[in-house]
Amino acid sequence: MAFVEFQNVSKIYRQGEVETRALDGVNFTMEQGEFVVIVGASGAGKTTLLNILGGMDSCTEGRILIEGRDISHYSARQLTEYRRYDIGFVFQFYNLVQNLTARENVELAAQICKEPLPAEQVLEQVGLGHRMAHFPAQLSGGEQQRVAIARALAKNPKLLLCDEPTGALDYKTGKAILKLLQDTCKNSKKTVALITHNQAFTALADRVIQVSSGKVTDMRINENPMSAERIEW
Amino acid sequence: MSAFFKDIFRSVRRSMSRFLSIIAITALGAGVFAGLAAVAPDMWQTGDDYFDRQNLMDLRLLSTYGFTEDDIAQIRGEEGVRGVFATYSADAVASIGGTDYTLRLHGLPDDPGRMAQDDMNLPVLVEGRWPEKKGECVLVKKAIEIDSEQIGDRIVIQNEDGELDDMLACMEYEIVGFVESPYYLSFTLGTTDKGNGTLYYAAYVRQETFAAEVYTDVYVSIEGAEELNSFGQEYHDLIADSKARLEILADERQEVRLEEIRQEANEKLLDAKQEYVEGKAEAEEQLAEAKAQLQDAREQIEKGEEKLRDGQREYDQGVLLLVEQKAEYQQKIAAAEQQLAQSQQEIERGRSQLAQGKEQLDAYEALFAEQSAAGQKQLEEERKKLEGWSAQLEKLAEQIATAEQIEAAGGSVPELPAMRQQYAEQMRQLADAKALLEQKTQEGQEELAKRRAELDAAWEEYHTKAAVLEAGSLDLEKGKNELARQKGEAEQGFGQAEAQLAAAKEQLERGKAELADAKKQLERGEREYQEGKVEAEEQLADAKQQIEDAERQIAELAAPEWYLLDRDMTESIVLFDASTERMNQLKTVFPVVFFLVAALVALTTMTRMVDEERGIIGTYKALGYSNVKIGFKYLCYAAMATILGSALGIGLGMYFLPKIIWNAYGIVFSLPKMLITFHWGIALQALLALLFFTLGATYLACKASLFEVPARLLQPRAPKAGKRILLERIGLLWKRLNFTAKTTARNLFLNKRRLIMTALGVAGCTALLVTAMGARDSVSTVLGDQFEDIYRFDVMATLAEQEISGELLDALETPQLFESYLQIMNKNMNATNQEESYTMTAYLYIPKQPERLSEFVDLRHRRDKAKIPFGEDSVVITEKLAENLGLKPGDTLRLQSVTAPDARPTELIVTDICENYVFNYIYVSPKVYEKAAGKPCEFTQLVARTNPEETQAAIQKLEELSQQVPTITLISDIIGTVKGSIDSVNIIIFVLIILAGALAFIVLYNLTNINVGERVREIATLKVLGFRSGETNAYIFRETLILSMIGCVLGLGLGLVLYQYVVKTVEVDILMLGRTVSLGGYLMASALTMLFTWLVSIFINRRIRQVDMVESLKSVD
Repeated sequence: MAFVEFQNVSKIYRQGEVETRALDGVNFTMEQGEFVVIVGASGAGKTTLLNILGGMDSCTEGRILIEGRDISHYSARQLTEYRRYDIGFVFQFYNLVQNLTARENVELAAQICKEPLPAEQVLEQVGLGHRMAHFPAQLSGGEQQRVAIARALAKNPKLLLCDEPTGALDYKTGKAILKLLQDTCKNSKKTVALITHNQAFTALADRVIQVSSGKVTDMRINENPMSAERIEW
Repeated sequence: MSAFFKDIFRSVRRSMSRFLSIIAITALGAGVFAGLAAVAPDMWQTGDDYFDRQNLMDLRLLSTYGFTEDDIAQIRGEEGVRGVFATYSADAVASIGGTDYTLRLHGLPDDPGRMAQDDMNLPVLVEGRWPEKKGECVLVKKAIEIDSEQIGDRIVIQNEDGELDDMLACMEYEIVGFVESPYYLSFTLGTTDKGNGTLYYAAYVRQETFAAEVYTDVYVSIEGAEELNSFGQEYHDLIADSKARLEILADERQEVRLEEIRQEANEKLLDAKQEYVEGKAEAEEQLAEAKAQLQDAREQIEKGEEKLRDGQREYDQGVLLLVEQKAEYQQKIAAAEQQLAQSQQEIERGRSQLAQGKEQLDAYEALFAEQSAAGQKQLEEERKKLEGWSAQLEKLAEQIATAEQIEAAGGSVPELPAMRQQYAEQMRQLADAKALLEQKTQEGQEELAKRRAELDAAWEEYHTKAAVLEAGSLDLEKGKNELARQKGEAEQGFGQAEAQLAAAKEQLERGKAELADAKKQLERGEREYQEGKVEAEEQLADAKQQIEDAERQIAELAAPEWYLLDRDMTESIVLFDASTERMNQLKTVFPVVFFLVAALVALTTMTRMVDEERGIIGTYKALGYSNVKIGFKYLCYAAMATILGSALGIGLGMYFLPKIIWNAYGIVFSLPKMLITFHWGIALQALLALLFFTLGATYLACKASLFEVPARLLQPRAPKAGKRILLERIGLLWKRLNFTAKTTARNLFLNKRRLIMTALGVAGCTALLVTAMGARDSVSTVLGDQFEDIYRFDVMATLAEQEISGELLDALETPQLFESYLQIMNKNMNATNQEESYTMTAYLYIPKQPERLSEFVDLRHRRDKAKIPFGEDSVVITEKLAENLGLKPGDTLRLQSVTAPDARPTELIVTDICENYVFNYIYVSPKVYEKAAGKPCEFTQLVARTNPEETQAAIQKLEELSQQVPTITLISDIIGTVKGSIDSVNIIIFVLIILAGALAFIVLYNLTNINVGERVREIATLKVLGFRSGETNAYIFRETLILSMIGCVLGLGLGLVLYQYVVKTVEVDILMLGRTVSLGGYLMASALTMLFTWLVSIFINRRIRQVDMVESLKSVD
């Protein structure tokens, strides 16, 4: 059984007469511990996919199985619990709470989990052990994103979702972040799903899911993923 | 419309809640300001309109000697005088339903419904009808209705010494209606020289009800005064002018009147003197006549006595004679009867002698017969014996013969010779015996005959005697009959005589009684004569004295004094004006809070807006719009919201607030419906003030952004950096906080404007609530502290006499009815301090036994509730009095009689100040007062505590004794009245709560709304992180909650200050509202503040729920 399985998932937005199919019969699977890259152009429906996968939205049709549990008919409350315990989220713009220090931002997430990882440990892990007491405004973008990743990891989630984590970062920093994510996946055996428009990142993936016009056009397993340090874009 | 304006309108549409929050806060500020500012003008306007409508006098003229028709004509002729109404007024004590009250009677225009120029001070009929004849009245309905007088009730004027005879023609009135009078607006009607000095009732009667020769009151209206507002300066100036002119007239008229009076008095004096002389002569004549009459009567009585004495004598003689006659008669009768009895006896004796004689005779007869028979028998026997002897002899003879024969025959018989001899002898003896017998018989017969003859003679004598006796007996019978006849006649005579005597006696008795009566009458007559004489002498002396007094008075006659009283000297109107002025002061304090909060709300809101629209501002700048133009957009936005809000607030505030306050004043003033006027000036002030605050705030908000370079504006603004706050430096504390608390703490201090705005807004809300609760507490303080704790009696009563005696004493001493009682002196006084800077009325309250006062009035200090001892030297005044007069223990209090304002004031040294809420009291020991005032106390009132089980019975008992206790007041009735007036206070409390709620709601909503708007991204992130909605809400709302609490705590302090200010501003002289707010009040205010916070949280939670998680994915723009 796959860790994540989308079966004919559709998301239809209705605005009056107009019907928009953001997702149209999407099928794919992910396995435990895989580094998955979901790739597609702007407007391909990858954000919708992310929303649904992250429990931020529900699908209109189809089934979504996470470890065999069907979350497609979850209530808002159940989805909250799902996000709380199963998902770690890394945002493009980090979304750190400005008024909290790095450690506090991590603790913010950790405090609501069942088996959180210690904030200091996670921050050490992402290489920010020395900047824990700094406010986001005092950190660089890369550092902020590291804090965001640490925040996601501290929750000890089953699935780490990353939405264009390098989108707001410079090339070098972006690379470091990708490396961090890849290492995290490798070291902690966490399933990581990375959403990006950048085809270059597919090289990193164990599994690549290609999204286009609301459909999964391709899903392939990358037998020999490259290390993040080596990719170029 | 240019795109620029389109943008403005779209901004409005997009940020409706922001726009609305500015509208709401400006509406609130404008409403409170405009409403409070409009209260006083509306009240004055309504009052003035009422005065104009009822044609209230501009000046009331009083004179020490009244006004003559001449005076009236002169006043009427004075320049500027529009109308003149000459009328009367009289104060009296009147009994209504068995209870005595002070009452003032006013004359009513002939047709009170007509509004003629000369008909002034027209009351408004609210119930019943106008008086149509003497003996009917309409009673002024007081603002506070304590009494249950009804139409049809009777008012009886007390006129014991006839003191009101030349004032009133009628002493009994029926209530035919109730009126409200512009002259008596307030529930206190003023003072009077009757009763305890407080005027309790006012009534209007027809003019003809008054018997006074001169008018007592003249009401004057002034040309052009009606058009002016009575409370305005122009009006005062106009009246002052007219008053000055009338004062000149007054001086003239006073002289004229003095002359008139002097002349009149002199004429009267002459008349009086004449009268005195005539009276004296008449009295003397009458006395002489009376004396003569008495003399006659005395003589007649003497004559009568003499006659009576004669009659008595005659009667006595008659009685004596009768007795003598009776005795004589008795004697006579006795003699006759004795004679008769003697005769009878003699006859009886005769009879018995006769019968004896007869018996003797019969015995003699029998003896005779016996003797004769015996004689015969003897004789016979003797004869027989003789015969027997003869027979024997014969035998002897035969025997001899036989013996001879035998002898003859031969025998021989030896004895024959003896026998013969014997025979012969015997024969001779026999012959002798025979002769003797014969002789004896002869003798016997002779004896018998003789005795027979003797007996017969005796019989004859007997028969003669019997005949005589029979004749005597017959005579006796006749004598007896005669005696009986005489007796009968005599007795009849005596009876007649006795009857005559009895009649005479009766007549005598009657005569005596009549005489006694006559004597008594005479005595009375004499006494009366003496009394009459004394009285006449006294009267004459009095008259003489009076004449002398009058002469002196005329000599000393003071000029009559005219008093010109304008409306400002009318207690009700002054009170009304002062109350209105007090309200007017409130208009400055309350709105300040609202304006400040409005400015802060505008500042935070507009800052947020400008922040949000950085990009747009940058774009405009990039497009070449000037700073002014761009700034104009935001000013326009703020101005639109402010104008809309102010318009709304002004409309609502100006309509409702004056109405509500007017209604509350309805407790103490009886007033017509309020005239709500739209005051453009106030509206403009409100609008301009708010525009100043909001536009100023907007300018400040824009300033920073406008002067940034467009390029930077186009970049997203760096989020406000997190900062360490002071609190973190206190490591010990900071470490203990959990990290959500830390976040909250940091967030709070991140934006100080919002902190201040929220804290101030919430503090304002709490302060208003504390004020509202304080108002509620005040009412219960008055009810509880005053009537339950301080007053420890439940009945007050006035006494007809200073001595408690008889049934009243019995009742009061009955422990089943009354626990205890105390006699007091209670008098309304004008109290002032030594500088006479402020005067207010207070009750002088003197307990007969000073040491027992504490049983009935709990004298204590307000703050620590410490008891104040009351003894021989105590002068304790109530707190409000001390406060208003600025008196401390040791200061001098000056008391002036309300009825004799010119008398020497009584000065007392205050020894202590006690807690009190209703009315003002000066508790003085009798010793101190008598010394200070130089006159004795009059303990004409009573306070009592009934037995709580039998209160009803005790009251009933007192009511039965209305002769001794004319007035009874129950504390429970007063409590009822106060309770009844709570409704109006409740409305104010309700309005305050609404305002407080609105303030809190707007501020908190605005704050949280901005917070949420600013932190949409954060909220979305938290949601994505899996925060449950409760946790998210708490994360955001915790700040609001803490700010609320800070505001609340601030507000509690602020509230006390505000409450005390409001209380001091609003409260009237006779009432001291509570100075503190109870713990319950604070708790309630806090609870309500938190309730409002919670209500806001409900709205905000919805906003938070609506935040889409997708926001978290968006870029920072």
